[in-house]
Amino acid sequence: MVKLRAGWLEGRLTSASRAMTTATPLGRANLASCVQACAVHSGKLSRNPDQKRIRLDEAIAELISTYTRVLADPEKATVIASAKTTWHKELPEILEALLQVGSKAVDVGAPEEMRLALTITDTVLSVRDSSRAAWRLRAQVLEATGQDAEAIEAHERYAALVKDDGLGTAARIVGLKQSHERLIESIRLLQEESPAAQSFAGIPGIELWAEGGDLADHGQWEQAEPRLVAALAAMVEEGWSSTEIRSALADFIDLLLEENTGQLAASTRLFELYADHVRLKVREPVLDPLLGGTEPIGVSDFRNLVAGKTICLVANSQGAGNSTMGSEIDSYDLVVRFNSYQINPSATGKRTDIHATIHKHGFNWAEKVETRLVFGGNNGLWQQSMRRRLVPGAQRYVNDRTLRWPVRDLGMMGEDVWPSIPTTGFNMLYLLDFLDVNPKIDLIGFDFYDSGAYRLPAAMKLPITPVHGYSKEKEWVLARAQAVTDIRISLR
Amino acid sequence: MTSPRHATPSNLTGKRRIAFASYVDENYLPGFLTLLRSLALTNPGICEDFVVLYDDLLPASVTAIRRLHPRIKLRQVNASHYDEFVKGNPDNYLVRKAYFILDVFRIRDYDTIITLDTDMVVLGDLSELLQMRRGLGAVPQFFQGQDKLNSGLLVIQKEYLSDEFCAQIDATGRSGEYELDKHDQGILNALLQGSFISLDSRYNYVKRRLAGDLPVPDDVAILHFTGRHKPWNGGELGYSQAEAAWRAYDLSDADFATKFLAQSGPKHPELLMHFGRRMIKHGGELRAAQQVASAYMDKGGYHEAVDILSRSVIPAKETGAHALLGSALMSVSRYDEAEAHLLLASADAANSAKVFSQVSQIAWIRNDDAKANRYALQGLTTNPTDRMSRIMYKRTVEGGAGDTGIPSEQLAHVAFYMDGQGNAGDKVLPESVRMCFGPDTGPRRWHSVHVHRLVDEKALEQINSRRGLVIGGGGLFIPDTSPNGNSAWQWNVPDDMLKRINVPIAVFAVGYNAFDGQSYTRSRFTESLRLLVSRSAFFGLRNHGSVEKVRALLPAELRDKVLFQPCPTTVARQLTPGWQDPVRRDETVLINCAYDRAGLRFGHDYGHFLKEMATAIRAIGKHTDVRYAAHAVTDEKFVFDLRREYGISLQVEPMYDYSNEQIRASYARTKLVIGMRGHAGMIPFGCGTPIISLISHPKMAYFLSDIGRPEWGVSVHDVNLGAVLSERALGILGNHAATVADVHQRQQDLWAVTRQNAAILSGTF
Repeated sequence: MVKLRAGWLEGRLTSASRAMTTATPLGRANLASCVQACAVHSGKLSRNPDQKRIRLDEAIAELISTYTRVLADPEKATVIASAKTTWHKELPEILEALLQVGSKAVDVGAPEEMRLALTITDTVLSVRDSSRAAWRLRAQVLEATGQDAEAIEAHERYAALVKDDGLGTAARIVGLKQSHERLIESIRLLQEESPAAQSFAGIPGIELWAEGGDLADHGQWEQAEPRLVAALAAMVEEGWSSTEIRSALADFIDLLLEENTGQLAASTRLFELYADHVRLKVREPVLDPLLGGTEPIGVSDFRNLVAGKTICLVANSQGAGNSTMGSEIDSYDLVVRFNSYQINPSATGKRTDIHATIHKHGFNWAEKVETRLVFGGNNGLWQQSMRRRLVPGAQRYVNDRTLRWPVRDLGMMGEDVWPSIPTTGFNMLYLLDFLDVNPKIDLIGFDFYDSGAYRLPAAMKLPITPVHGYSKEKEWVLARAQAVTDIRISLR
Repeated sequence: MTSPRHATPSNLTGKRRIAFASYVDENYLPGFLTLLRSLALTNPGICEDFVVLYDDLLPASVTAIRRLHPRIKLRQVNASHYDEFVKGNPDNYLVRKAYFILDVFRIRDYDTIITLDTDMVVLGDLSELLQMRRGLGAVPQFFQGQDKLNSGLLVIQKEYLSDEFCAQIDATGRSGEYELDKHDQGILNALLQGSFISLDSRYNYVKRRLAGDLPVPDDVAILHFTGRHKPWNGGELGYSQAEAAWRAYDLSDADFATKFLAQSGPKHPELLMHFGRRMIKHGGELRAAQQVASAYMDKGGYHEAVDILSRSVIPAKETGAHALLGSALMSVSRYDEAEAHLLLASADAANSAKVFSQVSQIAWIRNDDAKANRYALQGLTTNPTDRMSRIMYKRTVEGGAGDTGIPSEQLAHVAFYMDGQGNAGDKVLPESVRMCFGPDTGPRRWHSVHVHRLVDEKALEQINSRRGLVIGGGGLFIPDTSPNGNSAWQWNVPDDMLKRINVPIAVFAVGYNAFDGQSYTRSRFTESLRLLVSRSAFFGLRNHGSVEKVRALLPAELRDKVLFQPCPTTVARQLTPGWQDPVRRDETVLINCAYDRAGLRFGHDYGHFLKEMATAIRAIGKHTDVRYAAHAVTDEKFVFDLRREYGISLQVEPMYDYSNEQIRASYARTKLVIGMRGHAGMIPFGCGTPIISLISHPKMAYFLSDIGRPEWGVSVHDVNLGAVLSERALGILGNHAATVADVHQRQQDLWAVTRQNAAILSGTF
């Protein structure tokens, strides 16, 4: 019943990472052999019905096509032929295609694909150790295979190369470190509680594990336990990956659950350490769980906060950005702005009381506001952004899940009624119209992108995406409008 | 217990009692068993009584039937009654038995009965039939035109379940003035002459329409195998597709249970418990055990849930099962084991905030605030907006307000003390109770003991160092909310601790809410209750309904100790120092609804309730401004539903954010309160304001009966709720001064009882 998985030992990656840090130049042979490894792998994927593997195969086909195209171009071919270590600069299309293959391989997640992905990061990083994408890919692979220390290093290299931490790498590093510490601590705890384990020191982990498992199977738990504990300690000593050790620890806990029914309370600390280890590996801790004093609020709280107040919603449009509405906007009791709003006092006003934003971009999250409403259509991803992006203390209130997606959740307008993804602006104005507690709800500069966007410079490159039904939203708004001017639509 | 029959909760709340019914005999038994299986598999969320009319069933058949439905009600038909009916061709098998289904009209225990022929199979959702409120519904005969019904499916409302209609059936049957070869159906058609509510044919889709091996249309909800060739007897050539639809439900018990449990989507807990129990006993899987245990949890069967999940060892990776077992163990006060399982479950990142908040609650229950705070913070570390973790964090970070008085001069007070934004009624309650013992309701004179916290050595010592112990008020005699295995009611006190309390005990204005089933919980509760009554110097329950029910649980010598003590919120005008009635009232009516245990409250009638309320609000709103009093945040579902479904906006008074003074002031100022929560009736009444109760729970019926004004209650199930409510509300508004005077008068009676009790109490406290 106890299964040993030693297959991964041969693929241990410490040597690979050592190779990297020794700065051995990995030249032409490496790119060529890497592409060749991909081609060989493609052969193993043919006729496999798994969607992720099909996408990997497509990525490999793309790589090979790019590679052969390059070889067919005499000028470019010399870059490969002359074993230049600058190929990544001169042939960015190959770099791009390689990283794509790596990313699709990680999606598959099976051992062989992980090995392929690692080969790719080796190849890329040996010529360009400032590749953010490669470090990130590498961190993903190493995390998945339980090479905790190396994964942390890869994350740190990545973090050093990026300016803003939108992916929450700093917290990820903390999570991985804590996860690893808990694992080690759990085994130390077992050793303390089973002093007899010491007498097995020096015997290889696998042997002890098999012996202990056998004894447990034959009902000799008292003899089995110290051997199994010693085996776990030996696995740490021998440098097994954390995935392997965790799997053995889980098997050990299953045996404990079987043997010690009724006295589980004695194992509470062990269970907690084990669970922390497992959880922290996939979910990094929120470094400030109280969010710097931010209060989460629900839909009722929000209604109570805004009831009776005049409110205006300022669009991120050129219409608003080039207007002279500034002082008028600031005269409302409450001013709502969206996503990557940009302030130009004379045009847009200065104050922001409510910042409504989609969860997936981090624009303006550090700006101090009274209330930050973060919207999102997918609960898991929304929660992830709430953990990663909220800036402690940058808001007094933040919405909880009851205000995650107002059009769908509160309005219960499913895709049958409202097929397109509602915009942040529409979610917000729908919410206010639904609550129906404001004497004035005015939309400023809402021309549904007729005048173009007016946003923070970094957000200007974001496309005005076709997934939103702007014309339907416009129709909805105009059907409820009480008064309409060039710049203002009044809903009350 | 042999409590008087008249006091069933559904009678008191007017909850609509719905049943299915079939006439079943041995020949048609295989058909009926398939019908039951198909009903459960296609309508897994529906579980109503199923009346089986019979005259010759064998014991083994009854066993088979009961296995397939948890609420079978057997009822023998009066066969000889139909002997005098004029009949058709005597060779027809049905000539005698077809009439027996007419016995259904003699049943008086239900408001709605849906009859199904045993040669039917259910293929789709039937909830539309359950939501019907008027007339006699049936599908017109396919070959005969619209004025005649097919009696295979009938949706019968109360007005037809009457002696008068039965007499008409008998007269027609005996006269022979009907289509004799159509038996029961002939009689009904002769009687109704086309006046029935015509249902879509998909609810009784006769097999003949599929002649020539046609496929069953997708929208058919009930397929009816009319004619002599039944699928369980080999069927008929040319109907293979129809018969395949039937055979899909011709399953062994084990296959059926597996299929039922494997289905996704919500399932009725009684069905889950019924089918799952057998399956688990016969070695079912962990997934099945989890579902069934969770159904038991919903129904208050905490011990049963523990038993089910403890039968096999749950692997460490099965975090969901560990979380459930942890909750179940917590509910039976096996806290150490609960903590171990919950912590193991915290490996699952997605569920970890909830699990940590539970570990935090356990620590808090065990009076370890520091630990509780640590785990609440852990919950927030995995999900910073998790509501329960926030609540636990705040509850434990502030620390106790601390008593300021001298212990020997204080009273200990066991009550439900609310967190911020808790239920407004529960917030007012402890203070109101204290007012009955004197004007100072603060920490100088009172030592607060939260009802959910475990009475350990230290807590006991603190109680015993006070001059007395007051317990109440509120509905503390219920098993759920924060279940514990020590007492099985809200105060987490083990018997041996209760025995060691050596200061006088007063149980004050506590309510009893019916426990159903759950033998272990019930017997634990009864023992704890008996001990409590025997140790109490004063034992007062807040309504006569509770008094009666609690007395029934006690040995004769203890019964007289149980007294009536109205909830002190109902006499607020008398109790509140310096109370002044409002000189002028706002032109407003306040409405309140509650959504805890929503399934129990509304049954199948929530859509109806909302529609009728919209009608009433529009009618009342023409005269007076209608607003909404939210006692708890969750009460606001009504406001949102009303806005969404009917475009009506109600201004909300967020009483969960109010102080006690604000709550009373708000209720005293308004002209009328239409409330569903108990305290949305009792508090305004106490403030001298007329009330109408939306009855969805027996306790409000008890209260109205105590004040002799049952007409101030309307069942949320009332078929004419909108009209009745508008009429009564406008009646009260039109006759306001007199109604206020009546409220004051009624209150005097409750106040007299309270003062009498105070006299008794002053001897001891």
